[in-house]
Amino acid sequence: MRDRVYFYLYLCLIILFTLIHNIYFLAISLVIIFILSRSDFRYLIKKSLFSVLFFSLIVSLSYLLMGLFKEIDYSFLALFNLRVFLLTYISFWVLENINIFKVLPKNVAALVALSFSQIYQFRNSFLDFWMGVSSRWSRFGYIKWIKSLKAMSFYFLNKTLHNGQEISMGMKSRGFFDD
Amino acid sequence: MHIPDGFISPITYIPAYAASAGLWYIASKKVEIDSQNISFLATLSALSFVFMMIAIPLPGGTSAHLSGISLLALIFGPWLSFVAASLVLVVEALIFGEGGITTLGINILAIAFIGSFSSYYVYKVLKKRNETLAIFLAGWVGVNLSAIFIAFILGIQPIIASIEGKPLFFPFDIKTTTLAIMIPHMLIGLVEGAVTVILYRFLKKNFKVMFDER
Amino acid sequence: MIEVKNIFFEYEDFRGRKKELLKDISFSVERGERVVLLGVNGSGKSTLLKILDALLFPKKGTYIFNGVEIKRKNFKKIAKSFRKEVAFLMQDPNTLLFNSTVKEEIEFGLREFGFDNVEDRAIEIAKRFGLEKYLDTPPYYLSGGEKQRVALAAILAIEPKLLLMDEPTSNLDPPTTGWLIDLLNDMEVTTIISTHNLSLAYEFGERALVLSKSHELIFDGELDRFLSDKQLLMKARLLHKHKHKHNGMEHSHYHLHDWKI
Repeated sequence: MRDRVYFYLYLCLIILFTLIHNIYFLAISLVIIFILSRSDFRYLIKKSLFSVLFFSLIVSLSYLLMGLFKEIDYSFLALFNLRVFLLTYISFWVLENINIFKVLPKNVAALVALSFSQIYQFRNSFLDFWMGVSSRWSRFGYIKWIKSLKAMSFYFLNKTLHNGQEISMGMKSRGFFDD
Repeated sequence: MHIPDGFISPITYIPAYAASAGLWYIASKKVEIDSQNISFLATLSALSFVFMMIAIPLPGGTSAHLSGISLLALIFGPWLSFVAASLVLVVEALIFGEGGITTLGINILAIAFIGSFSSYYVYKVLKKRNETLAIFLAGWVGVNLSAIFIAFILGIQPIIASIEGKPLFFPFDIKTTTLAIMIPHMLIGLVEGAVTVILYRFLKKNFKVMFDER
Repeated sequence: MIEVKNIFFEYEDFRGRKKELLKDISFSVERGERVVLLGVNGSGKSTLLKILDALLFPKKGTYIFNGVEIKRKNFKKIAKSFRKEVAFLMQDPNTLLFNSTVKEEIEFGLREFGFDNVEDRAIEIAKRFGLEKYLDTPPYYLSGGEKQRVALAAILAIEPKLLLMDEPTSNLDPPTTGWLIDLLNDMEVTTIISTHNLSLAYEFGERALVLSKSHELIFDGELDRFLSDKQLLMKARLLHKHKHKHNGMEHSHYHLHDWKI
């Protein structure tokens, strides 16, 4: 219940933050959220900055560049960057502190949870795969790379079909399906 | 190529959410999400994720990511590919914290829906003429149509969401976004097309069982 | 041959939260030694082996191989000589196989590192590893145990000086495990082999490095001494405790079930 309340509150807030275009409102909201998230503050601020840095810089610098040719509104930069940062920060904070699977409907939650666990497993295998092949290379080469890509796609397609069946049997044995 | 939060106005992202929810509803009927398919969809989304993780090393130490959607759509058909890829986007947004929450609907439309369906139909229409070309163009078109859609969505922001000529969200017009986004994607699309040809051919030859079923 | 000094390694989980996986690890290994790397799952064994194979680079500390410091920055320059000297059998053999036939798989390393008589050599190696009949088979069609053999044949073909193995018996049935142990005993190569199977530890070497659950090196010395020290075994969590009955009396005490002397 708690997770659901927080999640809907969060949804309302992010919509509100995109509806109100007052810099002071957004700035005050950010400060309030900083205070509320106090124990995670340092971690979240680093993570959010790192996450928004690339695109925010591109947009801001291009906008300034545009200012050389026509009249621009400098307060836009504050509004835009503040909003992007605020939305990113609150999303990291809320989504890491609620159990998202309690919020989603049962079937969707099961699907997302299973997908997540498979994605996580595949991701680790993927990283291992490239480490393994590159441990046999003297240096990078495109022919080797394409060969490895083929082997990798075969391996993961096989894993997809195989794991799918295994999980389905596991779920059956736990009585997930009605039939 | 996910659009982050804060770039898009509610007047755009809310209808996009509605549209992707509608597509999900149709997809759930088409691929019977309620049945035992659920475990297969999960592993398929993991496969889609792995395809998206493939990075092409470029000279100079940089790299470009493939989308892998075309390959997925050609092997499994557009609906399965759409569902798998959008599951990846959902997991990335909700759990990994990558890609925006408000923009999730737009990202699903651009990457999962447009990517899957355009690739699939390009292949279907052209395969009788020349299969290799059909696969290549499926890869190229899939990437580029997704990019055009994103360029369009970003580019209309200053028109539909500004006050007295001052932008509120993404500030550049369609001409700028199209140029900035399309030129690199036309090039990346070439690699995507080539990789799609190589991998599709290879898997078709070595995974006969799967391709015979369809 | 190897000198590891005060290595730290951090890992970022899927949310970007940092977790320490190796804490202040120091040890050195001389040419010809056979080292067993022990520790429970998640203690950092695989990570340490990946660092020793220059697939990952430590966050702090130094790793020196044959007198050369291995760093991310300079690695490109020394990659060829390093990869020729060090072979790594990863836990999942699938990660090492990418050629279209077993023969090409074995030939790959030979060509990559400039051997002569590549084809003859490859066939000879295939015979030694019992792979003659698979020469033209794609590696990905083979079973797990067979893949393991192909991977080993392929990485040992280039006659490396240091062989790293990550849980090499986890995919093998008992006969193949026996075959692997014989193979290793016949070879003159420095080995560092990770396992959490204490009954096999003796077969893999005489010296033990032990990582604790908290990612620290808690023992470096003779394997015998480690395996006879109950305090250390408990500290490494390589003992287990469970309930059972003796003459109708239920009680529980520590066990080393997979350890047969």
